[in-house]
Amino acid sequence: MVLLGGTLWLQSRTAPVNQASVFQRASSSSRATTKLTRVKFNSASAASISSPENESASTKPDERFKKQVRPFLENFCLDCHTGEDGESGVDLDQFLKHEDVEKDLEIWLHALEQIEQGSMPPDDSDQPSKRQVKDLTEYVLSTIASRAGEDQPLGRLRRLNRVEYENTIRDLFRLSRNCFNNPARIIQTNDYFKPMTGRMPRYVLAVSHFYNSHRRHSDLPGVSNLPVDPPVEHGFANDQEALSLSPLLLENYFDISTALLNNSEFAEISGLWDSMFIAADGTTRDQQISHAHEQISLFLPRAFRRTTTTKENERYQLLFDSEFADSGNFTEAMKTTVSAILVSPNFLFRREFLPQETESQPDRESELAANFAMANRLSYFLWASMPDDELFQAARERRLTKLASLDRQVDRMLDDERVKSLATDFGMQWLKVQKAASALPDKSKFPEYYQHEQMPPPAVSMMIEQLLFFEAIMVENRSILEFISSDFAFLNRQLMDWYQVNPKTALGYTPKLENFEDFFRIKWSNRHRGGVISSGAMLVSTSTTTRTSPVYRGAWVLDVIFNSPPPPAPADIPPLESADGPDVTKLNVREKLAIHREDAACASCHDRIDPMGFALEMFDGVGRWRLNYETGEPIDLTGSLNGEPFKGSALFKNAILKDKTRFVRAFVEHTLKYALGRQLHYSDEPEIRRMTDEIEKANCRFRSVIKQVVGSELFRR
Amino acid sequence: MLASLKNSPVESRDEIMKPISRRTVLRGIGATIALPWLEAMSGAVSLGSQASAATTPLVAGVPKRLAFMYIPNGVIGSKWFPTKTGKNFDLPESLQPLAKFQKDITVISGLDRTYLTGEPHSQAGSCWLTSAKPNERVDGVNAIDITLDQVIARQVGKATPFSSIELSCNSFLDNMEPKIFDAISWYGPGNDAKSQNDPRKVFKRLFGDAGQVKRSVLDTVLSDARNLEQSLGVDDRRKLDEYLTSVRSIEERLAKQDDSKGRIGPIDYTVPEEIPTNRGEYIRMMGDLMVLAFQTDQTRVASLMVGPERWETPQLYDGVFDKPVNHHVMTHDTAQDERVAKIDQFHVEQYAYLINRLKTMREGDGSLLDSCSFVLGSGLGNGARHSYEQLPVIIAGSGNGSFETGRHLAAKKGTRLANLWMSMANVMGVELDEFADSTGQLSGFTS
Repeated sequence: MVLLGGTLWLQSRTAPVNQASVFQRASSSSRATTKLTRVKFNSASAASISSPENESASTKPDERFKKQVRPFLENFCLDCHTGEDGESGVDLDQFLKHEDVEKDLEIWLHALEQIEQGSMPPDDSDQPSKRQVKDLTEYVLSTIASRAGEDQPLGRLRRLNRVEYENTIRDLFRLSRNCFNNPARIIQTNDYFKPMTGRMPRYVLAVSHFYNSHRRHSDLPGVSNLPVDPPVEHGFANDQEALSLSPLLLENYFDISTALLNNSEFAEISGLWDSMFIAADGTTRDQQISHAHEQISLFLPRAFRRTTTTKENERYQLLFDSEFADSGNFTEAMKTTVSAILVSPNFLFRREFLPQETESQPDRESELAANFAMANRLSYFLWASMPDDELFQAARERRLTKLASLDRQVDRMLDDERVKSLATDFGMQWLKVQKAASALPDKSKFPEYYQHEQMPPPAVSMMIEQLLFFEAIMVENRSILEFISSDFAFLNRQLMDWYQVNPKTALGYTPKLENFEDFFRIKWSNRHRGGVISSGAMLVSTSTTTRTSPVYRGAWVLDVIFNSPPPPAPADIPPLESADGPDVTKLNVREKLAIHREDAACASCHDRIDPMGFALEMFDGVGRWRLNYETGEPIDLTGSLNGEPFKGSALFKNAILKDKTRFVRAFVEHTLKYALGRQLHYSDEPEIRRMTDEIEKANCRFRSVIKQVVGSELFRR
Repeated sequence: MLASLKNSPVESRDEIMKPISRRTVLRGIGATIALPWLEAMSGAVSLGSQASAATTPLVAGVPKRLAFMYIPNGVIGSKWFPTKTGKNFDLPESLQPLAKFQKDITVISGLDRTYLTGEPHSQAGSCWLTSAKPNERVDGVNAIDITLDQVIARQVGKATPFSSIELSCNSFLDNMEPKIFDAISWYGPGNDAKSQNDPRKVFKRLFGDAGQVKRSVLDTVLSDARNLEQSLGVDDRRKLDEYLTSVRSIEERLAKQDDSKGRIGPIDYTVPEEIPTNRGEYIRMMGDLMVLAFQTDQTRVASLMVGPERWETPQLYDGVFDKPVNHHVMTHDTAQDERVAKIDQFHVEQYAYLINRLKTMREGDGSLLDSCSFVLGSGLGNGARHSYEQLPVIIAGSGNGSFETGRHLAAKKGTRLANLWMSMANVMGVELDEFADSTGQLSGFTS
């Protein structure tokens, strides 16, 4: 129930409610009068778990707390973080013994991260030794580990989101192409995308609905799209917290399933239409019924993505029978039956089965269920779709609970074209690319942005650039550190002009501007660009209509690169002006923000946010290179990370790479959130750290991240 | 090419290419259509439930309606709140568009909410109508629980095909912000009443062939769901309950719709070709549908969210600025207060347009507006400071004579917004002992 991950900030924690309690609905959430029950974290059982074999250090936790931890607090923390008025609302003085720590591990994890990152204690205070930090780290992590599994994730029934629904329909009916037009896919064709080759081509024809509609390769006329499923804050659109179901949405599912099955084009592109929906010529009525029954019993396990019971098969066979009896029309009766299957909760919801947790050997039934659960988890993680025949086969043979065959499946799945959704769904959400689609820079300030009336604005090309870049790292199994700094990109002529890349030098010739679907792989000649931080899509989407916003840029880096999003600005912000101060309207962005940071309440966050944005000020509000502000005033590019100063984007990237663990861990966290469909919990932390170590040993290769996630206890639990 | 970027090309094209269904081209007798509920009012459900509001109805035999229009990011209070209270109140700049309707409205000032540490904008909207106490993080993060409109819809909505409708004017292409910024109506924690943002789809749902389901299909999936339910734990049952509730709601609607469709007759409505990029046109278009739903008694409870909280998408406020601006960013720059107030006034203008629509529709001896409590408000007082004090609230209509209009009611400083919500429930005939952090009914509101 605790929603924030290992990187939470404190402001959101100073609630007047008991942080160590969660509220759970005792009965149906749909009743206004439902009573609330408080469920306390069970701390009583914690002591029994720290049995001798679990203890890494020889000393008991109680003693460690007394000898090492409490003195650490007293020496370095309690000066500020004491009592209800403690700095940032944090009271560390309340922790008097080991049991107290167990009751609020979330805050300890947060404190630990502050210390590890060097944010705490403040620079002007006494600093702990490396040894002291190491001891504290060990203590906190082993305490967390001793409590692993105590807080089970909430529900395991999760509605398919829009993307998953669309992909599942595609694979369930063996469609030869996508039948929904989802702008989130950005590029609509797959021709260039051959992951099994391990290479992205040097040239990509990027067909996109953003560019031009008549070449769209998907969607069926007359079939509406589902509404967008928005993500959770700092999470993804497959998070179980976000995926509720309303009467309106269920109506949409009814309407769409009927519209799909009645669409003549759908029949043409479906690989199972003829066998399933058409009765063979010259067959008797009884033969047709038994054919239908057979088809339904083949279709249902695929639609429900697990083995089905005879009773379940019969339920839908009966529906067919009664429809067939009414109309005498085989196809119509089958359409009605299938449309019902497509609105069954067994289709609309993913259900994660838990193996029976008994002392004895798990029985074969639950082992099978666990295998199908794993097949689903794998396929929705890597493909955002249902398992294919081979995965189902592996599940039936109970191979997916074995690590070695899991590994083989992951390799096979990463070589499959369906892995594209990992880039379009996970990657683009991670990088917040969709925001660029709505950028509308002020026409009078940035007339060049709109200079080619017949062409889409640069932001569209920037979104494609970002997607192709992600796909290259994924397909070519590159180091994820290239997300920070890289020497290549995919650009069309429009972007080459925008970024001042000379096409003659980069390609040997100059492609035509109007062929904006043509993207070429280019090498950057310097390190200012390259990587996601200084990408056009990021720079444009973090600017206002008239200017850059160092605050948005800094917040973007904290969120995306470090998975450490700043807390929201609180209520009652003091106004940014003072009667005798300078005229704020005449100041540049840096000066304005400096005034803001004079207020201590603002400074506690903005001191960390703004300096990262300042380092990117050489890119204007539409992502172009610049040397001066519009006023002619030169730009000061000094920024800082963890108090260490640097100038400009290239050195900013160096600073991030210097402490690469922080980024790698954050990337693992983002990937885990997507793979598990939930927010992270403090108890995930030890496993996250272990995975991060392994990934760094594997040179941070993209596939090593995926394999660590799939192999982790969090994924297989 | 540019236009297609601004306004979800994908969703719109579908609909344009589709042949317009028979129902949608029916043209009728316009505002003079026979008001369908009059014959239908058996009195039992709707009138009976309203007996508790003690006042004499203004218009005999008509149901009461409740609507909420939500504006995001707060307002500039100095240009919003009248300085004079009571009957002879003044209309500051932002409220000027209401001059014609001064006798039909109640301006309320002095209402506060409690801020719960966390994201101030998401709470502003998602907890505006919440029934949760402000310190209860019911969904784990926010005090989001069933909202006032849904509490009332459960009772009042039994009489109509739709117990409530939820509309929004958010067709943003970058629809990637969490729903807590984009929903004011909730069935329960984490379970938002998903709003519709496409006028064509709203019309199709109210009067067309959307959401029509075969009985045999409903029965089959319901039996499937019940079977599934037996194998689930507590949390999963809660999740499945959303499904079961939705199926039941569809069943009920279909039954009532059959009955209602025969009585409505033709609808005078031209289905728009696409979602307008101009804010004003868009808001009026969605508002018109709300009015139409009231007029034809498809529902008696509605909400219209003008825009999501905090979103950064630039929007074109037609007639105010000549280029798209970012409302949220603007509110945080106090140098731009004048411009923000212009947006406030713009929203009030759209509100006035809808008041006028309701007022010109005859119903019984009065107008449709008479039966309404049509609330305009925001969950933030001042947007720049994220303040939860001095919330803007205006109510048009009198809830069929339940409360006095044509005045500025200045509540005592520190009065809870929830007190007004208690009063609204009472006006709608729904008895509540308490609501969120209410301390009672809003004093001086109903006589």
